[in-house]
Amino acid sequence: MSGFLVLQIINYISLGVFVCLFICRTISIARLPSSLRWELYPIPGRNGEGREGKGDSNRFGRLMQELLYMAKEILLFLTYFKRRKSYWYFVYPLHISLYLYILWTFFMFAGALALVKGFNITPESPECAVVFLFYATCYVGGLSFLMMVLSTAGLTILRLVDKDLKLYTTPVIYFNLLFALAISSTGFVNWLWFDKAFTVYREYLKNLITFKPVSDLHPLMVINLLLTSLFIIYVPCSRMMHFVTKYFLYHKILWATDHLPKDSRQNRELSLLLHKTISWAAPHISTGKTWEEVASENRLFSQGGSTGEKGNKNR
Amino acid sequence: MVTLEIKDLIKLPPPLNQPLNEQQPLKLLTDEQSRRIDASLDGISAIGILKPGSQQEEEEIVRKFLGGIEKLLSEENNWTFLKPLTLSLKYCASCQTCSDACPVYTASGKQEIYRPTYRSEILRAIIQGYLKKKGLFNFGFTAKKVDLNWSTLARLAELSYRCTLCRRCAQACPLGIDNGLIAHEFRKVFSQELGIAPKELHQMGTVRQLDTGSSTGMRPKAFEDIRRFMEEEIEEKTGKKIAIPVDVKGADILLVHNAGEFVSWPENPEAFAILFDALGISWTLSSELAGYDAVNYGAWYDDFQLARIAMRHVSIAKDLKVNKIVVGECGHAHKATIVLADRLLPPDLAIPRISCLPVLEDIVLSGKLKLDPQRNNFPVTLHDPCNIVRMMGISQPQRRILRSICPQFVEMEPHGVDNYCCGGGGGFAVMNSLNFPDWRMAVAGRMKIKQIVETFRDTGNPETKKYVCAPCSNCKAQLRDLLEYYKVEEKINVAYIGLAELIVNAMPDLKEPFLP
Ligand code: SF4
Ligand code: SF4
Repeated sequence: MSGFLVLQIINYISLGVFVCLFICRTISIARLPSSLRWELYPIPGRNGEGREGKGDSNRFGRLMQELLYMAKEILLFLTYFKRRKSYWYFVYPLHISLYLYILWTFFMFAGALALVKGFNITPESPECAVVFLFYATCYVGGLSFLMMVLSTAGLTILRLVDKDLKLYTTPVIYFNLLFALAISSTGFVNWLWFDKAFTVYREYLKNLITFKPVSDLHPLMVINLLLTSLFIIYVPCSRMMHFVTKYFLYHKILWATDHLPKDSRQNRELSLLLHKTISWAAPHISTGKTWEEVASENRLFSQGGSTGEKGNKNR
Repeated sequence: MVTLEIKDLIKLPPPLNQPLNEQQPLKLLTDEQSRRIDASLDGISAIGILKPGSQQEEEEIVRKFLGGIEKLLSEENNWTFLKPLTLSLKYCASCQTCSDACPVYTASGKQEIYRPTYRSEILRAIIQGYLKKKGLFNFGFTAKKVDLNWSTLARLAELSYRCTLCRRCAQACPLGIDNGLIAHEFRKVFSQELGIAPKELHQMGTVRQLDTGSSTGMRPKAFEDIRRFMEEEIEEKTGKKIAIPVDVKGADILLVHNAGEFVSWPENPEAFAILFDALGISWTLSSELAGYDAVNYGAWYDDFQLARIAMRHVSIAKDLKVNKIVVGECGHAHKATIVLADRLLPPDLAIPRISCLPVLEDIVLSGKLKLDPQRNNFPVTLHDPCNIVRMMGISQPQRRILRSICPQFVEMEPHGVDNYCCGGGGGFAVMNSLNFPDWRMAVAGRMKIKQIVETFRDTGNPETKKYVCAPCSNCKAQLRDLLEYYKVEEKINVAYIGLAELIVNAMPDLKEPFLP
């Protein structure tokens, strides 16, 4: 089996593993039990007044405000801009380069599909869409790689020199940055010196789509493709999943002010958990009882009179 | 680890900017206390952790602590906060954007141990170093190493009480990570597994409340005496004969006050009585054990104590067959009773629980009550209790009230959801043991006192009486101590007051001013 075929197989596997891991991780996060309400203001669309005040705007209005807030965060990284500009100068271009990378991947796939359909992706093509695809792929890809090189290198240096950051930068953070730097720099050099129009890359993708083996690739491109494959397997296992967790933290915790509907799945799950035995061991907690039993020890029962009169039995 | 000195703390504005040698130094523990108690974190002791007697005892505590952390990460033991905790532990980007938002870290002159991420990093390191199986990602790769022994634990326990749980850090985090929650969860491990908590919160707090009826120690008989005293005082001050209703079955509202109000500021519950009476509202107080004390210190350190008290409060309301509970001017009681209890209460206890602030707003803006703003014609600013404002979003009703009854109302900067904690949050306002109050004044409350002085800088004559309106009992307790510690009343004549008192003070038919 040729080395190129192995590379192709790795590409397929990594994509499959990524999809599986991503779905599993997302489901496992989503399935964590609903916490107690732990909201935090400001919440977009609440006009500075929470649901416990009077400012609970309508659901649609809230949703629009939330989307607007998210759009500003995703596109501009406003919180970083307002609160830590030195970091924003690097983290913002890094994320923009990632957005561009995703866009570039999309263009690449579109180009590869066009190749399959028999189009030639050249600037001379009579089809405007093809010409657009040609130039968009070149510039978006090149720019993405360049921005990623500069921002990952910049962030690595910033983390080495900034006293606050340095102290809290673990080896894995440097590893992530250097990993991204390695991918982007091989991609960038490959683009700059060997494949300005991403022709070879597109051809390679076409072969992947059509399950055909490739016979020749520049070593730099092999390294780039290999690293990219490893990286996409690594993403769901790393802190980089924060683009998913951010959704849960905001929408399910910090902005979640609604009562859980009685018949909701979350409510049913909470009822089950309330009936599970706890094992906390402090003297005031009756180990071996269920959550609900421990919590109800001092409640007043309308018919049975006050249990509290007898005092707190679990000191 | 750290020796705190006044010179390292952030500077205060005039007239609090005395030369260093004239400022109160931070108290140290006495020699006798130091022999018994561990204060190796920063020389301060909030909990009074006793040094262990033997090596065996030390090892036992460490073993139990690790067991507690495991429980913290399990569904059945910690479903209450597992989701935000897990996400906060795993997905912090270590960008330190949250640090500058923390009033404790900032006021301390940026002491590393008070940085919001410091505790969290330690928890990550403990989980990775001691609980996870060894693997590629666990050889110093993902977190710094922590040596877990008794001293580390004693410091950690103290460190969990160097955070006011104000959650300003979480508000600043672009990823929604909550370092305040991590401090809260640390407290829970110590309390729920090791039985370690400040005595003011546990023994003299939640335990006493469930046992005698109130963390103040007030029993039903004493409550009845205070009720009568309040009726007399209302008559003296206003000429009105008002019967304060107690245990009225079927009333519309069960009003629950922080019992500290009855003890230290009876004018606040009196003001509520005057207002509710004037509007003909159907309401009652409760004389059941804990029914006359809205506090729920469990919110700060122990989910089970939180749930027990919340359930007791709501079951009292159910027993009285009221339509709703209205929580008086107490921030953490707002959060515990209205928000935290929401998913804890069994379906039979799903009774509406609301804040007193929109109720007061309705009273003031309804036009049914005659009010004369000129009676409040002095500078007034508003302190936003974190629990009511940042954590519940109730920021406007109190402002609309003040704008309509206080012609010289002025905002602090920052205010609303961005406010600074008074420094008494997370239970600090009631924690008075050893040398902790000194730290609470010098560090935790520093940003607040700075803010108050700066707010009143341009209000003219220092002799004019000015008020900080704080619609929260614990904030008032902290403000009382802060104003005294920094001698602000003496220097620029600033006092603190609740919101209901200001409303009653604006009633034109009162013979005397209602404010003390
Ligand atoms: S908590 Fe948030 S702001 Fe603070 S270091 Fe982590 S990601 Fe950054
Ligand atoms: S909750 Fe408040 S005091 Fe605690 S770390 Fe965060 S900002 Fe600081």
